[in-house]
Amino acid sequence: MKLAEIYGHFQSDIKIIEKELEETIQARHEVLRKASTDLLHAGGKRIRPVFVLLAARFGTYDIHALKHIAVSLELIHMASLVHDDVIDDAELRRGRKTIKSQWDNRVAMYAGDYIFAKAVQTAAYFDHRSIHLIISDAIMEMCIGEVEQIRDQFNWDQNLRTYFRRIKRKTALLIAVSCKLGAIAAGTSDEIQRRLYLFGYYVGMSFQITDDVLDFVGTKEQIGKPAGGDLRQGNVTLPALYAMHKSPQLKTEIVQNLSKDEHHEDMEPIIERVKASGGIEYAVSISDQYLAKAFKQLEALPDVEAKTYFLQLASYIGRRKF
Amino acid sequence: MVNPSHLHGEVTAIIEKFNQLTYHPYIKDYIPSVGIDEGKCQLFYAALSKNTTKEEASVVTLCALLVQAALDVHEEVSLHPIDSDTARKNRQLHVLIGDYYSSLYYNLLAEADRVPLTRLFSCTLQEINEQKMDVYEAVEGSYAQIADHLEFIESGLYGKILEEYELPEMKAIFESLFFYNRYMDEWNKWSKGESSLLMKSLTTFETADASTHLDILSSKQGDLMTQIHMLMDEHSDFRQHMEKYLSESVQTAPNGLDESKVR
Repeated sequence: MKLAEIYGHFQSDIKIIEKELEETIQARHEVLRKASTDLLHAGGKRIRPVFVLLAARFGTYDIHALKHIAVSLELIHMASLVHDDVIDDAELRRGRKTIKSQWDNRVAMYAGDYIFAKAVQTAAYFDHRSIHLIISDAIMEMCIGEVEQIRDQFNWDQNLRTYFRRIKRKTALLIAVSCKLGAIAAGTSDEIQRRLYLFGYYVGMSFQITDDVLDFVGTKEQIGKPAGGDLRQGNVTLPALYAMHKSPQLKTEIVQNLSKDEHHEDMEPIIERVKASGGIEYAVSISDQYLAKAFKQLEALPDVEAKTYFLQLASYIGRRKF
Repeated sequence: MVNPSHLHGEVTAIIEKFNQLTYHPYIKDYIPSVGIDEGKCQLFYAALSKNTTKEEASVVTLCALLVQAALDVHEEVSLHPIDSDTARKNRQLHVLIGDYYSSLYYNLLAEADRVPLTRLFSCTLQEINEQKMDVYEAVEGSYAQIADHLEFIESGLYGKILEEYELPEMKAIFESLFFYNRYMDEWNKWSKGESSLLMKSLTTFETADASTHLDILSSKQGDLMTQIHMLMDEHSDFRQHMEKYLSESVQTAPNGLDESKVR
């Protein structure tokens, strides 16, 4: 099932979120406004806002209150992308020029900071202390996760635990938090909030593992940037971890060929070796295990229509091709 | 009148809390210079504590200084292409540390349950970034325009918080002192050959009666200092804090000026 088909069931609410996002990022300064709107128009799956809305269907649903959480979380995600492109020195995102590439790093820093401030202001619609604690904790964890990712770059001896902890902070937490905040804003019980949080967390883990797989198997057109980018930047993801574990010889070659101070243009031979190692299949199987855990959390939730959509979305996210 | 030394213990506690919150062994290895601006910390705490509790003043000062550190560290993100791992990591960590400090201010305000202040911080930060863009994109402009932007960038957040705590009369102090600090910083950098829109605006457009760049810059510095002295007279109970800030936190004028270097 395609994402558009799933989203079709709650299209009117997504339109409200899109409109709100558009209105929220209308900066006074022309460059800030263009940089932000270009990024918004580049698309994106809007996973976080959609998870907020669906989670809220387990309680008292009020789109006009919920939109503030949904928009805030998407803006946090957007701000992190703008700064990530500076961190990764990325020229393209979703097939378009990044802000840092179209302008420069300084504009990207100001744009990211501006969007982040908008996100906080949007969340401040709510007076609930817990909502702000949850959001700010998640951002702190995201930052620490990214710092540790940089620390671990070109460290070919890291273990699975380090990888899982990193992707939890980098991706899964914000999706988990999206579910939990939607549930809180809709006034659901603690138990529903807990299960939705876990659901989001497991889906988020699956989402990031799938992303890491696509970095090896996707084409430039599919993923919007050249394949093998993670390995080129020294980021060790699950397929590579598995491949190096299975073949110490491949690990030796990776260590010898990929070093911090060299550019790595011709990645094809190494990518092919990782693919042939069974690392992709292993990563997909772990992603599936996380999806299964997510489905188990869903089973225990009350039977509302949103459950079906969550189920379809989780399946899509874990098995998407780009 | 509160003597600066009487606040020493409280200011030290804020600095320790800042250091404790922002400590990360890996970051320290790469960017040891990032930290709290002690001069701003003591000055702002002294102002806020005139009209609120020590606890409140401490939290709000800490949040403001975290935001300041976040803005400062993001200003240091390099623009040029890099080809070494150390330079790359340095840039990457500057980006992330700034983001981390921003999340810390938000988290501290959330813990203290200060949602109105969260709104104030986030709205002001938007405006600061807008004005940073105004300055960054400007190729040239009048001194007054650029100075207005820089004054807000340097002191806007402090001014808004002071208004929130019903201390609007203190705003001018922060505007003048923090702009003066920026002016001296720009002057020093410019004299070493770095570009400065502020210095350019003064030396390009206001040269009518002056014989050298040094005369113009010194004259403007004198004007700014006169304004500060007037504020000291007006706020005699705050004079010692202002003098301490000027003597300990603000750079002196550069020794001479190599006119061939400046741009």
